[in-house]
Amino acid sequence: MDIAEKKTDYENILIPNPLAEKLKNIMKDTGFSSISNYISSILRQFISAKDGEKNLKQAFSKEEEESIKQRLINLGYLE
Amino acid sequence: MIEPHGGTLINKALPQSEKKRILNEIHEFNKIPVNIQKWKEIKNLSFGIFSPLGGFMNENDVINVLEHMYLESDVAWPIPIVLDVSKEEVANLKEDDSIILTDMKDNPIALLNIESIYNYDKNYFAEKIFGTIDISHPGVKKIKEQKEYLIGGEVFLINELNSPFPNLDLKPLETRVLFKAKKWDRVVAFQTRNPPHLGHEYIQKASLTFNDGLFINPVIGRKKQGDFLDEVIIESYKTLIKNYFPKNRVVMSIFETEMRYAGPKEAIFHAIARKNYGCDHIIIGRDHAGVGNFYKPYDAHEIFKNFPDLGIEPLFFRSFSKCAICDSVVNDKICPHPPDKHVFFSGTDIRDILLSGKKPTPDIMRPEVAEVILKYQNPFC
Ligand SMILES: [Zn+2]
Repeated sequence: MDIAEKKTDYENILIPNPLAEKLKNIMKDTGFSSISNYISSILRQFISAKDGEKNLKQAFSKEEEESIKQRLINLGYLE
Repeated sequence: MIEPHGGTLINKALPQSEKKRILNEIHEFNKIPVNIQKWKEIKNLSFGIFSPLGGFMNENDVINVLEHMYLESDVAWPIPIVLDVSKEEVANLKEDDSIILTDMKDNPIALLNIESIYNYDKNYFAEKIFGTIDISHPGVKKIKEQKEYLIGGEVFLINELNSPFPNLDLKPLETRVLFKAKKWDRVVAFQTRNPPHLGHEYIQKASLTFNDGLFINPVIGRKKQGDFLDEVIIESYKTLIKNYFPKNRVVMSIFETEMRYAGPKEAIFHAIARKNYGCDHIIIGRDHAGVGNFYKPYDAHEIFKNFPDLGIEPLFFRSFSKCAICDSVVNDKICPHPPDKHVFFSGTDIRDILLSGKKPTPDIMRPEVAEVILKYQNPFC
């Protein structure tokens, strides 16, 4: 099957009409043209804020950090 | 420090023991040669510059990216990262095979675990990524030249490409350790493919004023004819930094990738890579990663509102110029004087001046920088 003919999956979510109308009103000033895209964007913002509350993971161990620092000194990036 | 995109910094460099084992059995693998551009992408995939990607995209990710600019895992990603192969090359391959990607001289580069093999519509790709199928667009032209199948799957790096600037080629793990050691909490990234003129220096310094450090990250790799040579960009920036920046506030390191000229989408792509390097801000100027008249000047600003969860924050700059009355570099938000009092920083004009062997005036470019560029008989690709 050709890739262009495939569709991605969507979930239908129902919201009350008055709420949809309110959102459409707010949306007018945002540059979004589709209410679905707008709601997706709002939800992503919400989820990203929730994720941000989790502790930040350090990407490197103490030993790794020391050996990288030595390389950075050799390259002249650190003194 | 900002988290890597998708939460984890990818590392796909094989440990020595594993590398040895594969090299001992290398004759048992099918091989596919890849060009130097793909080798660079393998480097970026392997060292986390493209986190959360750890391999070439499968069909589902490609569709999601083209349709929504998000991966199937709902992590923002604007441009497919794919491996194209010919009909002949895929003939003997199937899903779940492990193959070796080699350079053009049969030297092994990486192990690829094939997850999917699929075909694709080039016009659909081009239209979705670039908003056009016009082959005068260099990105469209490149897609049209791609082979007819795509292979998706995780890669594991066996041999690293020799860096064109080995002393200026930090990996995200290294920049993250560096920023931490420098006690930079807020780092702003500057993407470039040109030597610096005074306007660039102005936006860099304006941004640095509100951040702890500036990460100058030139894109090194295939560009189009008429672009500056990589060496010219690097040498001119070294001179600017040495003469006009405090040493402890600026880091320069290269980003080896080809320019795609996808305008707004490439701005998002550039932002994600810089987030992985540990930057929490990125400067986005006028017509970022644009080409010809394919994108409107501020499309690359507009697109960011679609990505509220990107993590890295864009710092938008509009037009800037040297105002004779203010006697400084200004932008249209801070200077009230009429256009005839301004010298605008036009890349094309600067190029023409340099091409004629002349030195741009100090109003436009630092004399030290101009001298470096003019040392080259031909500073252009
Ligand atoms: Zn003025």
